[in-house]
Amino acid sequence: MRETVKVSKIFLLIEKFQKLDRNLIYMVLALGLISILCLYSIDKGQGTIYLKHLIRFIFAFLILIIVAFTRINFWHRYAYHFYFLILFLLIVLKFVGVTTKGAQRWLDFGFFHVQPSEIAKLAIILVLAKFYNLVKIENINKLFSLLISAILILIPFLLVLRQPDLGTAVLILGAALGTLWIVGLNRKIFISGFIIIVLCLPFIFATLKPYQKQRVVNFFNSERDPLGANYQVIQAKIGIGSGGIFGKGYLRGSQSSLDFVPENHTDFVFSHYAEEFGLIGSLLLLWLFFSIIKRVTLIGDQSKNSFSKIFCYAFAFNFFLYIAINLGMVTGLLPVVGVPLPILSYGGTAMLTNMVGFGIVLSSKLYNEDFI
Amino acid sequence: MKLFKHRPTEGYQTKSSIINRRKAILTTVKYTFFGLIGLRLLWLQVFQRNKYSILSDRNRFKEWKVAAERGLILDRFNNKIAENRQLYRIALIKGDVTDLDFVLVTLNKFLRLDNEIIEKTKTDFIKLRKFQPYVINKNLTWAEFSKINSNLFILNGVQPFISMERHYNYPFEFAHVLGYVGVPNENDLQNQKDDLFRTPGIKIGKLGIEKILNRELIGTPGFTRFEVNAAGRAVRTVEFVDGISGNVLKTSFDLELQKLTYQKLGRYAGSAIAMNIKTGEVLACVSTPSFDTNKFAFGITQPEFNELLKNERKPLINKFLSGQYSPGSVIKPIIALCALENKIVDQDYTHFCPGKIELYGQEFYCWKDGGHGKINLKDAIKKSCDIYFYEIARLLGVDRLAETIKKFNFGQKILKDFDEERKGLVPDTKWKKNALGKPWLLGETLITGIGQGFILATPMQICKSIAQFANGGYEVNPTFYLDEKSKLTRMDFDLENIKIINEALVAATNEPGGTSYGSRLNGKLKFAGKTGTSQVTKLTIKDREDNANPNAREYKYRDHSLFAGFGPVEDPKYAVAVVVEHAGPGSRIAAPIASSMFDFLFKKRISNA
Repeated sequence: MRETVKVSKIFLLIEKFQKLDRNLIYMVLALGLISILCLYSIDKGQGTIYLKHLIRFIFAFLILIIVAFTRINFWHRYAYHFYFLILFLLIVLKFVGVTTKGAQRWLDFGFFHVQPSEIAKLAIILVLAKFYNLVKIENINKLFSLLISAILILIPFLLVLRQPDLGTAVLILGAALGTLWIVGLNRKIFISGFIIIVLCLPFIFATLKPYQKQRVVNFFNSERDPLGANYQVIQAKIGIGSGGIFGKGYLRGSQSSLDFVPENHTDFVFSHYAEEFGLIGSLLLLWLFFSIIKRVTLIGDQSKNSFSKIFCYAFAFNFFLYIAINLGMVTGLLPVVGVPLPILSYGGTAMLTNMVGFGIVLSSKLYNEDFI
Repeated sequence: MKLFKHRPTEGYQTKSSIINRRKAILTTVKYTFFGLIGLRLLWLQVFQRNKYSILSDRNRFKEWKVAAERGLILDRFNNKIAENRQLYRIALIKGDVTDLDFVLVTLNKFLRLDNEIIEKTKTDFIKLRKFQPYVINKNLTWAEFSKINSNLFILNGVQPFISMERHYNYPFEFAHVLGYVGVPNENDLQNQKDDLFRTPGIKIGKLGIEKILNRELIGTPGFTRFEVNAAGRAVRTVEFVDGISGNVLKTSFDLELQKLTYQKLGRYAGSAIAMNIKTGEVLACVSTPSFDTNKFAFGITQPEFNELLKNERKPLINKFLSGQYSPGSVIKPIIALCALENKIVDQDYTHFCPGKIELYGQEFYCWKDGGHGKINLKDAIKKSCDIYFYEIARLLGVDRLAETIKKFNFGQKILKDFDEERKGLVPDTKWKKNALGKPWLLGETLITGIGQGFILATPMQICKSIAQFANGGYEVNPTFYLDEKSKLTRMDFDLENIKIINEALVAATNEPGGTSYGSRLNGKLKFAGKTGTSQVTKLTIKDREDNANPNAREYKYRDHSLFAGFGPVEDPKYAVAVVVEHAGPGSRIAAPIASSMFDFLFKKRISNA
């Protein structure tokens, strides 16, 4: 009797595995592989960064599978708890955070560091997905619900902005606004909000830190100061441009390996990839990113409940936002803000957040029939 | 309260229909942005690829040039007169030196560095870029070099190396004509279009042949191409290209003759030139006093340099090209030729020399008290009678004199490429009017006839002129290079007239009563030539009385001693010019020096041939 239960459980597990969205998993694994190859190449096989990244990726992938097998109801049920836990961490960070490069972004858990602001992006999507799943369609544009969502968004946004971490704060806001857009908030609110922001821009600019102001100014006078603040973007562009159509070949890139490109393992990792693999490799990577976004969107399309739908679309948009801002920055289309390239950039918390996100997406497909 | 009303046109809506429509709009945004990134990559990686490739390589590679070995300089018998020697030196690499003071103190223990060098190293070191080597200005002995090498483990950032440096085997003898090499200064760098002179450790020709033929001698630097990281540290060597050493230069000099000439000029200030009258090859050219070019090549100290500058005998002046002297009597063969060519006189014309003549109340003396009496052209040259030449100069007039003198290239540069060469001066009426704004005086014509007054010549011009008599009236251009023979072009003089003058010159040296008879050679081969004593100031009566004792006057007012001659008499091959400053009569100082040069040439070079 007991044996049969065990066997049936194993069969159930195998069945679940077969029902997982393998396309998405393969694409995420491909991204992970590219990432490790790329980090290996930057250090020409020396150093331990690529190994650390490999271990993190394996760990994060296991989390992804676990999350994927967790019922979507769980995420729906605990969305608020999760959100408040992150808020708590962000507040705790104010007092015990590790300060690096003038910003308090890290929580030290002894053997690993966690960046709560990264997780906050996921939390805000979850909390808004749950909130708007519960709000009735005719109440979406009511002041009451608007106020609640504004509070939900602004608390983590302001906490992160005060760290200070402009890049992540902008991404949190972006992810939240994307979610609001998806749930069908009236366009006029967006338009009036946009006008208010434009009117406030001079005021916002005045409150920026000097280095942030410099970045914005530099963006509008591109190659003015090659050794100063524009140095990183120019060096990244040299890396990308010198790759040409076919690239310099694997392990042959020099710009990042010889440290000309700063932040070569993290925010500017794409520069090295494009240098070694050229236009063809870069377009393939773009295609891979785009396919992942499309796949996540497709899972959202197939979802039978609004929570899953909202989450999938919002997460896809958030993922897109990362890519767009990072690539825009590295190729010199946007000013420099510290935004990593998902999965590819070295960095544990961002990877974990993305993998958990993918896990929830996979879960929403696996448990599509569940009632929320 | 409803903040915004639903538009009635939207009709019945479910959550998912709204979400789906909103999603579609977002998808459009994503497509657009991915398209933009794709186009941006196309622009960077295809259209701007070349620009960025160049920038990438410029980032990535740095070249470390290594100066090539400088070409050897040989004399005509392949003796090395300038070569290169291995030098043991040390460099400090900025960035690898962890503690400069400690390194210098330790080096000082082994090398006993001057305080000056230590201070200079300290100040220069701050200005260096990272990983730029700094060469300490001291040559090490092998013992010191090996000591440093075995103690490298405590000397962080010290790099011992062996370099090839110019060495002059006869630094004093060839100083003025060969010149020397040195580190390029700001001026040299600015005049240079390519970056050859920026090669680290390179030395360039600063003077003389080293400067003129610098390009041929310097060779092509080799280089090591490194891959460097963003901090500038060399990560690996990409390629190493050997330099090509400079061309070997074969000069026309005769080392033994040069040494002999230098020795004979000895303590005098002066110069001497010997050349082949047919090819123009210069066998010897010496200027004294001289200086040590090896010291210049390694950077002479300021006190030593000041010493050279202050010396009243001007060691730094190249006297055979830059020294301008009144030629004195050595001009007389040309004056005589002018008279013959203009048919003012012939061989048989005689003039009476009373010892002094008077012209408009001014007295003109012959060098011989009491005069030569009745004298013809040949004897006038032989005995160097001044009164005879006053007379023919008066008959010719200065403009005809100047015309003939100029045909021998007086008054212009002979060697094209020596910057320090001076032109000398051949005066005529027009020149005086232009330069001084005064009319020409007859008295000035007379003294021009004996090579005094305004006329100025360089020893090289004098040597060339006597060579042109010796070769029978062909123009010959002096050259320092063996592979560069002068073209002989006929001068428009009557060969008979040249012969007459050459005979007189032979008599001047080889017949009793000739001015250089005392310096004649008694062997089978003889030489011929004209002495000259050029006055530096106008002589007073007392000076004339003291003439027998040249040392009676202050050094700078003493006469220059000149001699210009050729030999052997039967079949002339060589011309020699000697000018000794402030030394007295030409017959007493310059002629014996020339005589010993001819003696060497006849005994060692002609009997060998």
